[in-house]
Amino acid sequence: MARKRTATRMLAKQAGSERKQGEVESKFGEIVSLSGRKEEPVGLGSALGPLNWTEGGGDLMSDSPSGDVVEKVLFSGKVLATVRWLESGSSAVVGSSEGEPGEDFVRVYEDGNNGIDLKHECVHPGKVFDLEVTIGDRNSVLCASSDGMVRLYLNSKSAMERVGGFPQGEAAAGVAALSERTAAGAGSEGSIAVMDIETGVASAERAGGDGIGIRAASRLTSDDFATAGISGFVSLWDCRQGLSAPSQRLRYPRSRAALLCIDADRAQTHYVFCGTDMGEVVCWDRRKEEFPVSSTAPHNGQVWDVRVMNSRPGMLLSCGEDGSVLSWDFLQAAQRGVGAEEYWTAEMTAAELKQLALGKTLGVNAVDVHAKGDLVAYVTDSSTLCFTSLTNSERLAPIEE
Amino acid sequence: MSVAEKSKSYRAVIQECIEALGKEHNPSAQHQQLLDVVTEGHKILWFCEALYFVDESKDSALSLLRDWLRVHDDGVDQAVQSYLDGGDDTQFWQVVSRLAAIGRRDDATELVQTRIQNVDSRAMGAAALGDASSSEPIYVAEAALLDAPPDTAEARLDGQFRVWQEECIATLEALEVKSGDDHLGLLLGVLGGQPSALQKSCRSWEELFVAGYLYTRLGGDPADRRKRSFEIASAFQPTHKALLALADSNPPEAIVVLARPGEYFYSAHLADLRSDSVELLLTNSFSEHQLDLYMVPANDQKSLRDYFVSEYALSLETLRGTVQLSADYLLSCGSRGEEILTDILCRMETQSAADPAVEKVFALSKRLSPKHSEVVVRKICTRLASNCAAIGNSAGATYWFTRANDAERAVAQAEASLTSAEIGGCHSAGAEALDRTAEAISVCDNAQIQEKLDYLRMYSELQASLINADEESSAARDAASSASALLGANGGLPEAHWGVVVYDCASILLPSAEASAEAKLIGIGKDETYSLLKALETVSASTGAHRDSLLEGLRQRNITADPEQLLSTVRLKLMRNLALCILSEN
Repeated sequence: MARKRTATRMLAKQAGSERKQGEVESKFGEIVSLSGRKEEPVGLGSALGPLNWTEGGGDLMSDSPSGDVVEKVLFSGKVLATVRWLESGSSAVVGSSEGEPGEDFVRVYEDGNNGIDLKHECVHPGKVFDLEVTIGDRNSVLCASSDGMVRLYLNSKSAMERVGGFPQGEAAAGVAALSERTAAGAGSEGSIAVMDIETGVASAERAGGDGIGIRAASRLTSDDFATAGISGFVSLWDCRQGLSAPSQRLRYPRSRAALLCIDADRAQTHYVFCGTDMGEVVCWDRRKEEFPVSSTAPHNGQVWDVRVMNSRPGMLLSCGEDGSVLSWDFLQAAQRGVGAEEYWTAEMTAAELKQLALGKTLGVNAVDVHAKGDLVAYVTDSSTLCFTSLTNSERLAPIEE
Repeated sequence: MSVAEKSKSYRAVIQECIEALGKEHNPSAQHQQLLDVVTEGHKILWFCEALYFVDESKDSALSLLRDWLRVHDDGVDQAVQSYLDGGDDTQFWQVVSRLAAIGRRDDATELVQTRIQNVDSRAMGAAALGDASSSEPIYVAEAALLDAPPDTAEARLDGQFRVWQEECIATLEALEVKSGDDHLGLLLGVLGGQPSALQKSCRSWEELFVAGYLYTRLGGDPADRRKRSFEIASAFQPTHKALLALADSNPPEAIVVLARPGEYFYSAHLADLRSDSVELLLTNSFSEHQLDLYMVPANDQKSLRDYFVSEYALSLETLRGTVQLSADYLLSCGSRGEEILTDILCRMETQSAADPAVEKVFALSKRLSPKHSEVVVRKICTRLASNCAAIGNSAGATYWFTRANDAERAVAQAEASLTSAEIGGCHSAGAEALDRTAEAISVCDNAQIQEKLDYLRMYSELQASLINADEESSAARDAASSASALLGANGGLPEAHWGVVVYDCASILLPSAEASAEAKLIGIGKDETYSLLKALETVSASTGAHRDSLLEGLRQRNITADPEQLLSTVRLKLMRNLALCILSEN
């Protein structure tokens, strides 16, 4: 609904009210749909959208007279799968997922004196399935690849080093930085490995930890991490107990549920969040039973990423195949006084959900918020890296229960 | 939604792109080329909309055509102003010819008459000086312009326009014989619709196009008109030739001419618009060369539109992220488009279940008909299952074969997993893998296969119970209960596995002890013991190759022991246990 209003407003302005010298009386009306889609035309415009579009750099700040940050788009030419902010400076790392030999990359974009610009690029062998900023060096990133390897990208050197990997045929689906020296990798066929980042030696391994397959991994503490599975299970692994069996299993009780992404509250690691293939964002409290404490479905299509905003208690970001990026304010929901024991268990309504992606785009594959500010970066199937602000949002229509 | 609205919608999207592209600072050559292509395409669609979709009246189309040109002004007014600011004779005739060519004959006439007034003033002086011949061309020009019939479609269609044009040509021919006045000849050539004159007078392809339309299209002999169209078209780029074809009421040719490999956007959308407004028939105006290039069935009126829309969709499909846009277009092309989309989705790179492309393909497949959707799901799931099987992930293989609705291969994978667990025993990695396989079956939401492989779940539960059966009597009882259920009439466990089940359960029982001690530690109840004995006798009673297959599991589990001896030992244990059970009851 929000995107339709935006598109109509912008295009009506272009078509009706502004005329060039000598232009004849316009007979053009409002946007109508093509090919059955109700909101917007398909084709070229759907991919690019009415945004401040540029191939190269552009200022991140102050595109409007009031000084508010407005949406900025950088076109990369390749489908972008992941994005993460580096905590040093204003650098965002993106990974592509074209899949053709030599076509994929890891890039670093930095907001410098000349605006946002490409700072580094490194060819990546295979699709980038996951990026995770390391704990020791906040300027480096762990990359999980479709070729089964986990690599460390060193921003200072613009170089990539291999950390570890999985047997041939199994992709590295997710990676979680546990400590300065260790990282956990999750394989697409369910294998788990805890590896030393510097030496690449695996301190613990397990084949087929989640037999059907793993889609994502997330750090909980320095000793444990969680994996989200295609089977609808979240497996929690405690490195102190070895990897012989999960220390705990959480479950989403819907048939054929696929969990596509996972994150946890760093301050309250018993709260784990997942996005599903049916547009749901699900929350578990590990102290309680195996089933979720809440599930909300504001997305129309797969949820590709969920990010708990560690600098803002009770806030979460999600993005999905429907092209939307949502901010969730659980704290505000809890303050409505609906009896929630803790804010993560508060019942969400449309009042607490806001749409951040104001332009027309294809699926949004990943989202991240800068640890020290309001800047949000997200990447899309439209081959774009987009920047926006938490303050630059529209309230959603009521959520369908 | 009307065709005009649809066309406006297309153009609005393109206009957005033009505006966005135009904001680029220091554009590269490639960027500028892209902007030019998009801008020209916008003109084409706008022209088509003005000519065919907004109003059926040709008069309206003529005025809209002139307005269209006015929007894409290429400096005509500046040229006029430049002449008025002190231009010479040559400039005058160039401006007049140009104005006449683009349909602004009133402006051309006004200029001519203004000059006549000035010339007359001078002529009066010149006459006084004895020179009265210098004003003749301009009077001829004025007469030609004033003699023009109304600039309407009716005047063109009923022959008035053609008659007037012939008079202009006749005057031109007379002049050429007489004085070879190039300036006046140019104007007369324009008015007469001479392609060479039109080309000389116009400064851009848009002006030439409008001129060609105004002076060569409507009315007159079709063969002659066609001949003159070709002459003008020779100076055009393919894009512009399309406009000529459109103006010549030959949309299919326009659509075909617009198409270039990898650039089907305009052909696709123009064909889509035309198919909505009028029947898009293949006409005899196609050249043989063009028909060779595009082999579309002549009897299928929609096929030209579907062909170009699907070609455009295929060009989008090469960009990995825009496959859903391809899907939108292909799904508008009927059954053929659906087949193409099915093929695209089946070919998408999906080697790993962790790849988001897998879910994206599944989501797109839901937009297909059930038959095609099943084909895609089956293809993708089978590929994933084969990958899992290749690396020994039986749980994953079972799950994906089940999703593919391939019961036979799912069962085969499950059986392989069970065999591995059987050979390894309850403490083996095979047992863990079997547990995962059982879980995979439980979540795959296929009732038929779940029912068929339910024994797998029970076997997994049996093995889980056996792990602690030595130490916990409750675990032992659970194991016995599971075994009894597996071996029952409805258990479903293939006979080939009975031997090992009986052997494992019998292993719970103490090997030998005083009767009183055993009586206190009965691990298996009477009914369960009886079930195990019955299964044991089934195995024992078998003969030949069948017996060998039933004992194979035991052989694999206990490589050094003789299976027959194992059967005897098991029988003894079970018999003793049964006796103890009966004694304890009494």
